[in-house]
Amino acid sequence: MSVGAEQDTITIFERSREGRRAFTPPREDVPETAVEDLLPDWARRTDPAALPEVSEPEIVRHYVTISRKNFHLDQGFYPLGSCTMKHNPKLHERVAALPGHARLHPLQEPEHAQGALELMFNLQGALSEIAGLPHVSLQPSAGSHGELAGLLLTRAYHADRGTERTKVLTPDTAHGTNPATVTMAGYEVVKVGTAPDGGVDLDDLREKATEDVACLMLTNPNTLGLFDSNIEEIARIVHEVGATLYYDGANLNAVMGITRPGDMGFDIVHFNLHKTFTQPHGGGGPGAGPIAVSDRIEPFLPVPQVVRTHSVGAQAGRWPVEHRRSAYISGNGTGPVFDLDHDRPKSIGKLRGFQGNFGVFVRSYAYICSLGAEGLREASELAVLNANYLKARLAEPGIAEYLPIAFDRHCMHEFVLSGSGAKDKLGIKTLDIAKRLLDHEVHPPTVYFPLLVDEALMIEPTETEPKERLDHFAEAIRALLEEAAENPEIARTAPHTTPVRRLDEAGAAKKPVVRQPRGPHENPGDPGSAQENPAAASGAL
Amino acid sequence: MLRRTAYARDALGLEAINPGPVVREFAVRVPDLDGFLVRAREAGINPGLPLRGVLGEYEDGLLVAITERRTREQIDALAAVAAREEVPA
Ligand SMILES: Cc1ncc(COP(=O)(O)O)c(C=O)c1O
Repeated sequence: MSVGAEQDTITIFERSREGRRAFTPPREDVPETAVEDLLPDWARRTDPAALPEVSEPEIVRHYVTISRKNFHLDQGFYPLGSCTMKHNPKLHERVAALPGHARLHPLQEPEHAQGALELMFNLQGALSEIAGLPHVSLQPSAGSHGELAGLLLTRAYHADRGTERTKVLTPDTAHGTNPATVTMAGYEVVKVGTAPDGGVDLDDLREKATEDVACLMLTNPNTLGLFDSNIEEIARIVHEVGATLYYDGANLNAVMGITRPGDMGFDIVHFNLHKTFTQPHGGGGPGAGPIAVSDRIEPFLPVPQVVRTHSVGAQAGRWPVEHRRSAYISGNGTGPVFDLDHDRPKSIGKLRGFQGNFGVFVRSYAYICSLGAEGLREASELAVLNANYLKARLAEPGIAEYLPIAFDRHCMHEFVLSGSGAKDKLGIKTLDIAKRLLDHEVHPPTVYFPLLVDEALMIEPTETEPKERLDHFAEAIRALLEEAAENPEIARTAPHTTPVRRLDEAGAAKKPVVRQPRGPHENPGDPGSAQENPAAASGAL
Repeated sequence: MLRRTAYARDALGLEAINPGPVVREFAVRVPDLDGFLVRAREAGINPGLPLRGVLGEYEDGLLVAITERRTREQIDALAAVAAREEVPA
């Protein structure tokens, strides 16, 4: 094997050679006291830590090689439905890395963190405007965390009115996090059916909306990518029994600046800043799931709230920067302009450490500022246009007979096809189609969700894709269906060009091997060998 | 970092809350903590986390963290603030 190929598959530990290094620390500027004089025997390790010793060029090659093994948004089309995998502008990384943003300590007192608090305050204001609801908390760290916050707020709201309710309604198209959140918050999940047009079944809702219902959780457009035009009636039914209406904002990319959840009658909304507002996501990185709420929910918001205690002039927040600094510090003599308000007696408490994921706020705020109100609206319009264009391309003969649209209406930012035709006529399943797409250098859509569509493929192109990418996707689908008519085995055994082939996904979830074994003879990627190794099995390495 | 932290604890000359070995953080008692914080900030330094509110029994406690980013010059500047503190105003 050539050095290149061999080097392609080894770990950073295997690259290690004694004595190599990438960095030489500067000479000590404090007295070079012996370590033995600073730390007693018991606190010093006897063996050196088994850290890799690698030169800088080899480190760079190592991580660049690894990055090429991943499919990522900077590499190709990523129409993962319900995830809004839009382009993440690179400018945001520079803004987030500014020392005043990146090097601020989360425990810095408000007096000395006025810039950060102003950014958070302004982001709250922008999100409030987008949601059409007056109050915002930035604390929750993910959409699902926002959902939990929403149900805790709902409980606090009902408790404050002296009522206790036990059920939460979710449509059968809901994302799995909705019912999971309901259960986690201690409520009982009650499913509401879907009408033939893909919206909420109003009769079913009327029947299930009883006085013991605390909340209805809904996303609009829903996970079929369809806007529910009965939303005002839905809100009326829910409010009539005294329940709250929760908006799962995962699909907000369809409606920014066009309609607002608050105007539709929702009481609580979460945003996925990592979807709609360009925080890079996928792979479990930090996200943010701020919530916006109506007046009646506001007293229960988490602590602390970012507030403006007083204004610094008629045009607060719009002053030239050089004036602002002194204005922050002295204000008008009554303390800092922006502050953290802990004095909220009805609050549900704190939802996480510190103030949330600040870097996410910076990127999202940069996005909102660079697009502005008009730009956000245009982004949503293009997201809807792109989805409808791709839907039309996939309705062409040669594709539609195998992948019929689940609900044949104009869609919003995404749409759902059924792989039922391909399964019956070609003998390939949605999973096979998804895997074969990887060989066309396209990330698969979301598959097998929503659950009510047989062999579902949920496609969300986003506004940042040009027409050529959409066309390429449609052609890739056509090509793989034609190929399957000749030889379905190719799709069934796909992918064929990726660093690893079809994986045992259940095994990967249930028996993951995530540790680097120390010895040269252990194979880190082989679950069998991990099991045979008692130290590895007990996690004792 | 170990050396830098040890150097800082010595240089500050304040009473250590825990006299044991330290790696990168140490807690000290500061007689006039509020005055010290104000003077440190005037010198452009955030000297650490006041322990009141975190650990109630240490009203005058301050947790100082020294990282590899702190230079001797910066540590000496903080020590100068601490030294001035001992002198009654
Ligand atoms: C419709 C819908 N709701 C909720 C969520 C949960 O959001 P998060 O992944 O940020 O917890 C998702 C995310 O995938 C979603 O698609």
